[in-house]
Amino acid sequence: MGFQRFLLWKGLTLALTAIIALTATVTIAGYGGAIDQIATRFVELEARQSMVDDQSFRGVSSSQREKILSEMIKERREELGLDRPFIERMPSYLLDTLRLEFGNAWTMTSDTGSRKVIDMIWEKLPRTALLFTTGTVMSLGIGIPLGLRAASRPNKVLDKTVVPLALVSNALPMWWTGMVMIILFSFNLKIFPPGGFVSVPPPENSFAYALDILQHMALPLLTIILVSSGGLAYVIRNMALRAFSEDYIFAARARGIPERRIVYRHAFRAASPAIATIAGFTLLSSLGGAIISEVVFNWPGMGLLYWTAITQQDLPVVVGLTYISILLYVLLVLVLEIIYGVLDPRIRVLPESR
Amino acid sequence: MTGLVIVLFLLVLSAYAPLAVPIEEMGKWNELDKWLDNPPAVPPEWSQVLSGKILPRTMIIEDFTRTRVMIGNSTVRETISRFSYDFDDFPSSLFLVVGSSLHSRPSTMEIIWEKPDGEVIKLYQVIKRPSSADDRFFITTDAELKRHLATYVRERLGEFIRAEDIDPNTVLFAQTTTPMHLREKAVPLKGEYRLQARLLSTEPDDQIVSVKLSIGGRVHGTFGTDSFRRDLGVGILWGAPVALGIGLSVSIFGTIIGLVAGVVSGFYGGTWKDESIQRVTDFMLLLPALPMLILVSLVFRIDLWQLVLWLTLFGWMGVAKISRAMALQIREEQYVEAARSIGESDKWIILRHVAPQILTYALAVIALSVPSVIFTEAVLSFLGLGDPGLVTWGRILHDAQLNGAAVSGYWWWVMTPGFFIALTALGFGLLGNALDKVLQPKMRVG
Repeated sequence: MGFQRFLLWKGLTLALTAIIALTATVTIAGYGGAIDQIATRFVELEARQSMVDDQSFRGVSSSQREKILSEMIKERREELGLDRPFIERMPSYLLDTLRLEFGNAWTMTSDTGSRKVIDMIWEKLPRTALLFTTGTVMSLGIGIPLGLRAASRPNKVLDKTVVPLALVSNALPMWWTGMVMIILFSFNLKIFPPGGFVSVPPPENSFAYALDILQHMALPLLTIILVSSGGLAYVIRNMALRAFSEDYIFAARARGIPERRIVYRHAFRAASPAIATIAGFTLLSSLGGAIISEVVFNWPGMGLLYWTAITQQDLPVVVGLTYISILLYVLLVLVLEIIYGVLDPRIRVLPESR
Repeated sequence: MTGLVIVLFLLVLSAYAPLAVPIEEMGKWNELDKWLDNPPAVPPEWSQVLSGKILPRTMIIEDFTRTRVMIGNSTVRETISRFSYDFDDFPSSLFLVVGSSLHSRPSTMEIIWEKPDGEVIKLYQVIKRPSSADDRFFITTDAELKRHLATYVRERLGEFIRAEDIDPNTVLFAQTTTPMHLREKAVPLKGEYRLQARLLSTEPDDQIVSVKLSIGGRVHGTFGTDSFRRDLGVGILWGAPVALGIGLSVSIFGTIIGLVAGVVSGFYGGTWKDESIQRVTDFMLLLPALPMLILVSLVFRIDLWQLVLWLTLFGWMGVAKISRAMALQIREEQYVEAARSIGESDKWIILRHVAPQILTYALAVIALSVPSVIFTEAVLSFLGLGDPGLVTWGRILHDAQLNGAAVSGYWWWVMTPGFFIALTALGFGLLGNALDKVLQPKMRVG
């Protein structure tokens, strides 16, 4: 019962956070009429364009044309609700955004041609998830054993290399490392393609298609592993050090249990809640870094969408992406809390009884 | 120790930047017209070690001698600019500016190129009108000149050569007997070159005022140039004070806010003050900072000071959490109880007994939080959302990305700015770790 209440409490707090964050997002986006200004400019441009395209306006005098134009703009503004102050429109805007209805993008379209922001995001999200979960899992696969081994023999060779390795890899921005990797492996050695998701045109049969994606993923994955596994190993080493100083490890060693078994059965089990948190936060922070890493590798995920939306000043897309990012972040934190609670029963206590 | 050395180096670099390049010069970073003397996208000078040849450096020739010859009733005024060329490769750009002062009537101006072997090529013949601005000749890319030079090469080599295949930089510096239209096969001619500018005029006061020939090298400066001919050294150098300024001020402000919030929260642990501060902290911790910052910078078009403000807003929670935990411990100490028993006020106890202990730890926190601030700033600049009036390392990388520097192999454009970001992060990270160990012996791990 306690665990369910714990979950409920956590879920509620996080939901509240998400809603407040969304309100903040919408307020920022609408603040000072910045959205309205851009929207108005956009409406004007659209009206002017339609007038240029329309043959029937050819003979009309310029003053007459200006009058019709301002009439058109006024109508369109009323249609979009731009004539009312933002504060009035905010509740409905907020509600729409909450229901994931971000409306249409101003200029951008999805790969399938849809103008709806949400379609674009659903299209890109799986690709981002594919790249960055694979990367995080692979980094964990390298970082966890490395950190545990280092902790099991503190101040030995492996331990002494993990620490500087971690410090250096922590100082490398992932996206910049990606640019360097492109110069190295793509421009100089010509081993991997410099970016993209699949070759153009994509291969016909599905096996070759998968292989092609894999080839495009290799360089970004290599970058993620290079940058995040060192720091991960270091943090895990520090967590596991505490476990290795416990009496039961000492006792296990005294009984002659093989070191491998001690590392993975005893120390890893004890340190696992902490490691799970670290793993989760690694995934979260790599998703944050994804915004730019995708740009560098031209990987058509959410990050690249963000970049395009920013360069094209397509505000609805930016707002939608920001909200989805917040939602994803909060959801991942909730999942982490659950995992943490399962692994470490001591944590399942509500704040008031703590 | 290493950390301290790196941080000191960066501080010295930051102090040196305004001395080496005045702030007004840095402000011209975006005025691409100001950079025409430099070659576009060439590596640093020291990189020629890799090629084993002596590659051309950028030369700017402004000195010239004047002569004047009478032909009939018109005077030919001539300037001669001499320079010697001793490199194993051809330059990467040629740019000529001729300034002249004419009084009433238009006159003809000719630009003539003379190679060390006596070969003479007439480059331009233009009609110069009074009171018009300086004449600018983009020799490298001029299509008409290319056609003209194609005819010249055809005459000398007896081969048909298309004008599009002509590279004026090669033709003007090649030995006449070698295939002048192919950069790989042509051989540069070393020796003294002469550039003549001639003005044919009937007015006695008309004359050529200035001649400036910019020969862009195959290597340039200590840091190379970007595609817009900007000297990356200027950007890299000025990136240091900007990065350090933003990094340190955000860390210091954030730490102060975090300390105040944390100490108050911890000292009054369990009360409504603690509870409300904790809720706000938890909420801020849950917000993904980067997407929010992107939105803010896009909507508000923030400048440097607003950026510092917003980064601070998202960067105080960690300190608040830790200093609250420390304050919770300290308030249970006997000396706090003693102070309370003699009737000292809360404010006094916090300032006198609680804060000083946490303050030492704050120094380590300031150093440790600099890297993430610099990363975030770099990310925003990379997205093109930074202060447009400033050069930052992130912004140089933004331009590099937009112009495909990585896929074109312009390593100097990508490596150095990122190297400095990484160096700064590493330096402050190491310094923070060292301070942490010195100031908090109890928390030492391992």
